Amino acid sequence: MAGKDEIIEKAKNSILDYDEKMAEIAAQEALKEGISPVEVIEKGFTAAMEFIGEQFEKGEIFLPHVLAASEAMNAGIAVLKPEMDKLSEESKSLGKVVIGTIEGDIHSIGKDIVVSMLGIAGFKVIDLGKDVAISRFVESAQKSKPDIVASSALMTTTMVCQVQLEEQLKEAGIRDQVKTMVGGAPCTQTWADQIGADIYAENASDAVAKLKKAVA
Amino acid sequence: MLRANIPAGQEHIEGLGLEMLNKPDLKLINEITVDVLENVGIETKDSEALQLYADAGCEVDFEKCVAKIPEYLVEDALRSAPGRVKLTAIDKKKDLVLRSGPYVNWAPFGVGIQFLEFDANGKHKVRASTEADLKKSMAICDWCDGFNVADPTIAARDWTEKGRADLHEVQTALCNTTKPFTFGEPDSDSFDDYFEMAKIVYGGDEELARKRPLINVCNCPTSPLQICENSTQITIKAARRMIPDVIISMSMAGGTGPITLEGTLLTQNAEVLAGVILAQIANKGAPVTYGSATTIMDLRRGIASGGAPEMALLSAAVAQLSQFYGIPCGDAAGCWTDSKVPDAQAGFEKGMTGMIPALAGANLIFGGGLLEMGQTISLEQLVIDNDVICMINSLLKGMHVTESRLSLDEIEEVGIGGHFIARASTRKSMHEQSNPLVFDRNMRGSWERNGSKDAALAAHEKVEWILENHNPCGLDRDVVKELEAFVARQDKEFLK
Repeated sequence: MAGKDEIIEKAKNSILDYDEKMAEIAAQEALKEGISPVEVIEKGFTAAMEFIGEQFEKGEIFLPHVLAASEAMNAGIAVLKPEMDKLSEESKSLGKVVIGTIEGDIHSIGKDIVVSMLGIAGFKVIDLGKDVAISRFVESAQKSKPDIVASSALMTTTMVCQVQLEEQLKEAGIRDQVKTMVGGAPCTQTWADQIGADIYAENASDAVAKLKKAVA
Repeated sequence: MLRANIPAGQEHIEGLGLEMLNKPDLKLINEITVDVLENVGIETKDSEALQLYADAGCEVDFEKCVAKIPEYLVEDALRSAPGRVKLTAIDKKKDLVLRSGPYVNWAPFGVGIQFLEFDANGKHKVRASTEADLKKSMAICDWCDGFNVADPTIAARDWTEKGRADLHEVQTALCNTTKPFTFGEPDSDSFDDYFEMAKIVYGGDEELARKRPLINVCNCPTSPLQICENSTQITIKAARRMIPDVIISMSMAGGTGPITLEGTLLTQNAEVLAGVILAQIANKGAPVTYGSATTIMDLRRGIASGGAPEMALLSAAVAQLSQFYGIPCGDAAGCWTDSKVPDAQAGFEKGMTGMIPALAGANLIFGGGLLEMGQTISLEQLVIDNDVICMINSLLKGMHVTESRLSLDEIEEVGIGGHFIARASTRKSMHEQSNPLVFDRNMRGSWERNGSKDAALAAHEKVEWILENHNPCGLDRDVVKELEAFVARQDKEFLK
């Protein structure tokens, strides 16, 4: 069996090679060797993701690479998660984000890109999926106490639900405990201002930049 | 009478055309599409649609909400879907029959969410679109001969959450054009309201409102291979009411479809066919047409690109697929741009993306007035695009080589030197020449004396003239009032 340094190196390289299988193997080997899952994530996966993030910012790699890296990391973390839950460990994160495509809307690719980019940037992201009932956003926020509640809408007919999300967060008494973010093609800064959302993100990079500021 | 050299059957193409895909290509696309429909299937959460698919013979997983569609249903649906679909207009003479085959028509873009306020110094402002903006847009589209239909181009966002924005948009359309229009994407619960409004236009005549629905619809699947409930309901309800429905896939190669254009053409084909099949299951013979706004996801920029040459190719492929299937191509994206302003980028991208599907024979190419990938509408761009469209229409004429047109007798009569300007034949046919309204062809002196305007500024002046001088309303004053009253009542209901 390989030593700790080698396994962590393998974890790192699996991300840089966009290799889900290798990430899973590295994670399994780490568990077998009794290496702390948090250490594997922070020194292996996250370290690689930081490099990926830098490369992306420089314009040397692009979305396909970033998303593939993110998928490899998620594959590795999925293997480690049961052990982490057992040890009640959580890796460091910049902040927690609850996100989903708003009720009535099934368009998810934009939101999926944001989820991946936020993950790479070091946020813990709870992705509720698509066509997420407003009540589910609220329940998830109540349960997981995120820093940010983010919703995506692609149609003028569904973006109106983002207004209702603001209202229901207020009714649940938690609106002031979170910052809200809106995005999606018909959304604009003016829309965010109009409905009282804290943040408008034009794309995934914008979301990362603005959320980093918001949790700072 | 003695006749010589009588022509036997000859192969000839009239006009200027483009045949990018050949028959084996189209056949293979269809075969693999069938594989996708049979083995991967289409997802919809609409239980009525799933039941319709199941009753027609599809393998339906009601838990996963996936319908797998067998080949024979594809064939049946394409056989029963009509090859000609009529878009009815307030002015009957302007009815547009979309006919499967290489016959080209043009539409403005629908639906944007922002309006460009023109500034003569180029510092244009962009803001949320309103009902008043839509009214102006309708007048421009109604006036411009380049547009065969006058689709509402923008949403009346001043009515969001304040009333029935959709009915305001429909009413604005009905009162500001006599051309046909497609309303996109309607609320599937509102067909009764749209019917009531058509009835009002026809003075209460229900039969006429049913036969000539006036408010044509569209809906979009969500790539890859999903159709949301509102969309399936639009298809089912439109089919049962015999209202033309164009099913417009908006897939993105590299994003919601495979990286190859061919692969994304495949998934989008499956999505559209799934809609066509649903329409035919709901009501055999329903007027349903093939639509596409499929393009690439620009992976360097993380956006869908409206001005990309790839989109032009996809629209051309869609035109050919529609012809292969024998149903009209009710909306192919063309005359689009990623530019935020009416500039050189807009000019070229619109020309390129308009021309290619036109050459391929798309029955209705939509994009006039569009800027910024469909986010923004500009009245000036509508007028510029009118020129672009008319020029492309001139291109489509190609050359028609006949002895008469080769004009030997003219050439012999004028002889060597001289000119043809004063000939009767010249006078007779000069009006057939291309004649842009805002693109300037004059010599510099004339152009300077006229104010040295570029196309955008010239278009702006045209916009002002049209809005000042053109009354597009084809309804009596009392009909307009009745429509307004109906909408006001629905606004009250909405706010309750």
